[in-house]
Amino acid sequence: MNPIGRALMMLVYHLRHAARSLSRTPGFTFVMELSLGLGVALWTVARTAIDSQANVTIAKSDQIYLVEIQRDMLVPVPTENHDPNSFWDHVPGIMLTHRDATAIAAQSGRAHTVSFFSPLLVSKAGGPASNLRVRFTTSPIFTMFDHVFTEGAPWTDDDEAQDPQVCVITQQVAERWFGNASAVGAVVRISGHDFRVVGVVYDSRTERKLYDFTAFPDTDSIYVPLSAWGVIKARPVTYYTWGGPAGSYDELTSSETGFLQMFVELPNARAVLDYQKVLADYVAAERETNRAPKIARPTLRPLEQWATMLTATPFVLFQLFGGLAFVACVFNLVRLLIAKFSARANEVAIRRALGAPRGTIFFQHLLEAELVSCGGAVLGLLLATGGIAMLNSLIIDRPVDFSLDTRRVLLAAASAVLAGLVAGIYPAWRICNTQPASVLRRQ
Amino acid sequence: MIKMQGVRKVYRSHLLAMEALRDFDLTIEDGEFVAIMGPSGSGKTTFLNVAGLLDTFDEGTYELAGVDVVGLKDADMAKLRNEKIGFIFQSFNLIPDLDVFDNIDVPLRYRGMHARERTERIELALTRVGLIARRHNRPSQLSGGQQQRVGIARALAGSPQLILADEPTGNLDSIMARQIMELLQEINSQGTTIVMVTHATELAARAHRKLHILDGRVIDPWAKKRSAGVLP
Repeated sequence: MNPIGRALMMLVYHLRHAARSLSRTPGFTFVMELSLGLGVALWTVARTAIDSQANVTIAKSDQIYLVEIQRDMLVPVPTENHDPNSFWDHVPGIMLTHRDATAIAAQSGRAHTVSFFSPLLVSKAGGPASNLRVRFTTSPIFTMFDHVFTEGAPWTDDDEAQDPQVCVITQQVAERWFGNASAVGAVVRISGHDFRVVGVVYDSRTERKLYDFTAFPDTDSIYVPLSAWGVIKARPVTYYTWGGPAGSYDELTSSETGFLQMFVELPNARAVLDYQKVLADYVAAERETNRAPKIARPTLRPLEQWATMLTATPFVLFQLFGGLAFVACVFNLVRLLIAKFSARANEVAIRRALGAPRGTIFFQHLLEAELVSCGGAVLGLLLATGGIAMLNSLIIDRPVDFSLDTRRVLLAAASAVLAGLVAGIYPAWRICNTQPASVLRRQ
Repeated sequence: MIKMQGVRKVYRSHLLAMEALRDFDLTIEDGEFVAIMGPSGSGKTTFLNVAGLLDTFDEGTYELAGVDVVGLKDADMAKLRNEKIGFIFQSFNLIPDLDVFDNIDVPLRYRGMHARERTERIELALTRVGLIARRHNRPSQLSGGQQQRVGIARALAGSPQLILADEPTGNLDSIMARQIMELLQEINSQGTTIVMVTHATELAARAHRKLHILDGRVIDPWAKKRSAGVLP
């Protein structure tokens, strides 16, 4: 028989025996699969929770940067208390003042997303009002962050400059208010002002809006031009202020209260350098004025780095726990496999005496561990599906709905198979080194 | 078939070392039927394990069917065991989860034989030991004598040049023991070398040659008579 035919024959032979061995002790086999499955499930749920927040699926993600400008403190923050990776230590820097954001946008000439949100009373004309999140933003938000229009289109620059009372609504809102009818052209009332709907966007619950650093489950329902803020004069919900929050709209536009998040699209390294120079020049010029506190340390933060920073600490700890639990479960599987294989020392001694090389015995047992890992993968995925559903129901202030996608399913299955391989190596090595003479002598 | 010279085997455990074989010289020719006798702990089973490549030895030389086994890799030793040697154990050592057919199939699988050839060999071996009708029985469904017959069939199926039998009748009653001995004699008459460890002198008497092992050495109790010319 040729070597390939022989290898195939032995593979089938070992598979048959491994399946028979596992089915002979179904309870023990289930415990082994459950051990691995639990580890896979915990790890998968933890990874899903992290990835759902930090995963950047935006097409131009490598060209988008967050503009961050820190402000000097009257009482400096001690260096040892400053964590460069902590989201909260960056909050003052990402809350740009209106005067800085508009000036930098004008000086650079680049496409920017400048936005903030405010919960406002909104209704369709003649309908009951609801409290919905309204985002005041510039129109590049739709192209930079891959919004999918199911109807209509973003507002134009002319709209933004001359007729800012236009809006884009989410598909969820459009279906609630207009059913199957077209929403484009309809009028909605926002804080008592009429706005014309120009577009409807698909609202994904499983992709994080990276321009929104809050973790509330409700995402934006309505987008209006930033210039419409002059019409509505709404107060932002999140802001970073200096010496007490400014009161009126006029005060907000000129005060040191920061509340705008600003992203810029820079297509290449040259554009990044140019933009950094504009930022540095602007900050240097502003520091010459009598502003207090003085602005400082302008930073361009790549979107993917920003996404990682957005991941909340409890989720990172959860991931650590998931990882440790996975390792513990794999160790437990190792112990169970040792117990199972050791009980078969006599059979292995007989097989060795009858001509089985050590490598064949090793492979036979590794294959059995792999069969266990396949069952563990299935159990793990079932448990992970339940775990993620539980996570969605327990964590109210989650930034997105957690879900298992194909990539994560494949990753979970691959990690289970790999874990089975790793867990099987030592027990298989141990049993293949059984000395047939010593085992047979004991009988 | 077997040529051992100056073989020494030491079992070590922590601070203790026990010499199981020492200055062990033995030559067994092709086609011989040799009975090995000796008291418990004399080294009979150790000799059988070393001869069957189931255990290593510390000193000396050993040629099995013309192959010097010193320094052979595990895979080469496994191949030699599989192709040249058939084992018959006192406690049968059948795999309880496999039926009779699959038990005999084990060594043939490791040899990489085609399914048809394996089936032919297994059926032939089972016919020789008179158990063809029990081919799908599990070992637990057979008597002790039948199990030993399956063990013999397993050893025969690979057409080995050497059969090493460790007290093959030790767990059987006298009638069964006699039948098994007759079977072994028949196998030997067809050219297979047989080395059998036994305590039973009446069974050993059926062998061509009896060897005694004492304190890890082969001794010849008739050496004096032979040197005096009383024995040939």
